[in-house]
Amino acid sequence: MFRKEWRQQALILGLVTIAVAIAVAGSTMAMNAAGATQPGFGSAGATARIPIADPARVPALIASAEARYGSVEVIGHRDTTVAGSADRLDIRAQDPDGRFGHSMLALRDGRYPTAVGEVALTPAVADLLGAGIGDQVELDRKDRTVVGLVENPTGLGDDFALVAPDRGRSATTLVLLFERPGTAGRSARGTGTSDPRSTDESGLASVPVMIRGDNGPVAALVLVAVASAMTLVGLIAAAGFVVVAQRRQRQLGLLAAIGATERHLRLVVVANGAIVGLVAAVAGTGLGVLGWALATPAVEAAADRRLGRFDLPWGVVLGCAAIAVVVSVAAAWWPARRMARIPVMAALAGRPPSPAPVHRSLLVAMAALVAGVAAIATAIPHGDDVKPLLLIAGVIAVAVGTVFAAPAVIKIGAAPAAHLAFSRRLALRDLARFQSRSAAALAAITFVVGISVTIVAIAGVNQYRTDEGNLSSRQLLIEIAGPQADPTADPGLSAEQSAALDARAAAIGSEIEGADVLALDVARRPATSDPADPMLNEPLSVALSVGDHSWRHLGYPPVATPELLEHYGIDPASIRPGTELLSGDHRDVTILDISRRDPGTTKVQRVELPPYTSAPRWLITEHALHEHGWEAVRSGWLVDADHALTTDEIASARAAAADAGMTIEVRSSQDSLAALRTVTTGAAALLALAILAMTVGLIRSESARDLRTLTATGANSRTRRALTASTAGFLGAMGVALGTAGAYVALTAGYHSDLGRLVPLPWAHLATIAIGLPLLATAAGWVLAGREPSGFSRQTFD
Amino acid sequence: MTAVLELRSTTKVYGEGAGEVHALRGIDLAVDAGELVAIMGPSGSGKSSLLTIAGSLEHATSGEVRIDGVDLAGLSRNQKAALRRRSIGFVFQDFNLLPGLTAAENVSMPLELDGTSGRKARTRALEVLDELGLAERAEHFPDDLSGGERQRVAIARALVGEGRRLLLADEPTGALDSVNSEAVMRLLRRVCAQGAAGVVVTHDAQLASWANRVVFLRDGRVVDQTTPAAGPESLLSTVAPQPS
Repeated sequence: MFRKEWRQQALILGLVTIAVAIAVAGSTMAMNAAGATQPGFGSAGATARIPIADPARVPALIASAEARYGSVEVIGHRDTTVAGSADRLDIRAQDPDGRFGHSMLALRDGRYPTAVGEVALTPAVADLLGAGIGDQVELDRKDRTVVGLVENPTGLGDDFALVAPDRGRSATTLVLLFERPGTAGRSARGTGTSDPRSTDESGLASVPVMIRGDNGPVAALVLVAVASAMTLVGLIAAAGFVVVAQRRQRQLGLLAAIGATERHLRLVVVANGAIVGLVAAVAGTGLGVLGWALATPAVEAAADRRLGRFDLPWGVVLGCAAIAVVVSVAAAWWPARRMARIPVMAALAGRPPSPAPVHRSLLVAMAALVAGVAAIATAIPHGDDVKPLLLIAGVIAVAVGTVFAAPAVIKIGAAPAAHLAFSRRLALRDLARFQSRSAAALAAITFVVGISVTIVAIAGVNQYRTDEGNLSSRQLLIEIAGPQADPTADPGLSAEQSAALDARAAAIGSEIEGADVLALDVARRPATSDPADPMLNEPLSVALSVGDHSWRHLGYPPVATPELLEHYGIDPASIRPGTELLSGDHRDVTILDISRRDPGTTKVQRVELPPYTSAPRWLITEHALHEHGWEAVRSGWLVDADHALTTDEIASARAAAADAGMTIEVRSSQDSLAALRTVTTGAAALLALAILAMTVGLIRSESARDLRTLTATGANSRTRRALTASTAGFLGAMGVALGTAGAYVALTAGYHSDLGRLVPLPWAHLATIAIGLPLLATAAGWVLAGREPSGFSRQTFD
Repeated sequence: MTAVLELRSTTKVYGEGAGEVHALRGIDLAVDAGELVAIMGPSGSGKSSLLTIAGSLEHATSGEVRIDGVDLAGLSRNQKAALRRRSIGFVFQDFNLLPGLTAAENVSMPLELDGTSGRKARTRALEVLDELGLAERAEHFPDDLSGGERQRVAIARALVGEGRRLLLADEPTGALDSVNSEAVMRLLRRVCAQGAAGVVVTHDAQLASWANRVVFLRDGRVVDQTTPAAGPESLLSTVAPQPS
């Protein structure tokens, strides 16, 4: 019987297939995005970066690391200049088959270097040097033969020249990769820094160890998304199979008439469900994988990392496919059971069964909703310490509560029907009669709207406010070499070079009307004080205590020069004697300096500093410089204008900075978040409309007899259109109201500790959903309905 | 005197080519005001087609169908719908009440569809229900009514309004017991006696005897027309109806 009702079958198949495809592609993207959040680790659990002042100490350092952390992979970095260019180049000595780092190296052409005098280049470096495979290049005053083109698949913007591994003998910086140590103080989640004061003989223990963060929250969100998608699949498929079963009613009646048992009849519909589920699972998985493969180049560009086209989370993918089959069978079981119980004569006559009332307890719904909200509140989804299982349980409980509450909501919503005009009255009464259909649809629409509103709201939470973000829209940060995130290398600038760069920075600033150019200097120990100490070249950083003897690196604070103090309106006389750090951070931060016995003794004075992440949030006082003998080293310039920078000003500054071998940073526009909101809003509207179309079609097909009666009584196309439009509009409006309310209840639970994050509300997107969806549903119902029913003499009057 | 319903050489063909079915072949029929005509015939004879074409629900393939002298072929869909709201009343075998509406709302439906205010339509519907002895059941939904009550509500819906000229009933007693069947026929007879023209399709010769005239169809043609012999039912038909 599968070949019958092919249009309806195709519709269900299409819907389930798309749901599976979205689940597969979405989960793959999310899992890959999760992996992209922590580049630089490869497959290692921890990494340490050690500036090398004395190459003779390298073997002892490695031996010490192996004794301390077990198997260690060594990657040597040597920072050098390129002849005739202001660009600097990283010469990297890395084993392509390294235990932990092999995933950070891929061959694009040629071969890997294996001997001294051989080198492989990343494409950008090859362009910079104008070299190809087989060419000779001079790097670090040595002639080398280019034998291959390579890349770092986990960071496509990572440009370097790869040489044969040499265990760090020629490195200026060593990177060690190893398993996550199981020592105390590393139990804190996220990326942390080990205790710099827990010394050992080699001094290795003073090296900050970066611990790979836990991907649990991301995986949990992926699971929540997959569970949500599959819940939708179930609701949609169930509604679809009801239509199929009803259109097959006469055939089932005929089977029953010739002796088929209820089991036989059930099997017909259930087998249909299984076939649809299997085909949808295979087709959906294929589509999802294909979609992922097609989207990979675009995602790679956005993620700045190479993504395997078939590097899928196969467990999750197969799980989605399996759930699709199970859900389809379960969805078909319900109508199968119902249709099998219809009296034979009623089935043969094609009389649809009377709509059964839905008996779902509102108390159960309320209990599930309350439990769900409590679970989400406890799971704290916006914090660092997310409890994934609790979060999943909370979301599922809210979903279950919504499904259970939907029939009651339909009933309550239809209560004022008696006071409405005829078509609206009949529409509401029909929704209340066909509660099992309308409630399922309402739950599905509520779910879709709820998810989209949640995504839109969370995108809003993560969108910078005017006083948040990396920089103000009036600001521009000029950096000498690379991003400020890694200013550890000694710029090695002479006084003349420094003066020249100051002049270039001033010139860039002068192109922007009303702009102040403020030099930013970081503080560090004198390079000559102790050449044996590997930490000497590190600028002094600000850190936050994350546990016993563990700190999280926050940034490199600039020196509080008189110009900076004046710019931020800080009166030097207001700085208390002995203050080492001026902090605009409400947290208890400290200057992380291994030369001091107790990092926690930093004398901090709170001041008002804008909370931009790339602008100064802390200032090291000149008193601290003098007290500890630190020196100030130029790291960049902050350009602060009296107006929001224009695109032309930014482009001009960017070009000028590039000419001078510098880079600039401006306020992030967060285009991706805006796009996410828009895409989510559109996708939710489309999905909700698809569910509405299916449900309204289902209800109207079940009440086709009523439509014929109406027509016979004199209803014209306007009445029929109004009836369908009212049905769709009411369901859409209720779904929007419930979904939005539910989403904000869950969001309030999740952000209960910082409700201010939820404001301002994303009014434009909410209004688009709240007004647009019901309006679209109503309009679609009006336009697509109205056709006069046919076959009066053969069906109505037979 | 102009017939309320007039069919002239009316034919109806369904399908095309090998699948062509001639439901009606040159039907000539006229039903005057106050006249109740019963249509009888075997299955497939064209009874239902005749009724739907007479009720403007389907159009004839050829020939003329006139109601009160107006040719249905010249009317738009909306004009036909208006005609059904104001002049034609349908009664179906399965009652065809809208289960989502109360008895009163079902009866007031044609008036509301025609633009009468809900309050006025309801008042008029309650009057008709009262006339049929269903005033106390006005707020009940169809599922709460007995078969006889449902059919009386259906008849009330077919009667409501000022200008009902044509009553079309398709096996109106098919789902009723004999007592309720006779009550319904008595009701239809009374309505027609008040000036409407009625056409009733039935298989039951005894019920057909309530009609002023019986038309026999076979293979889409009128094969016979007769006036039923006066029997007990005919005698009863002159008695005021007492709905059960």
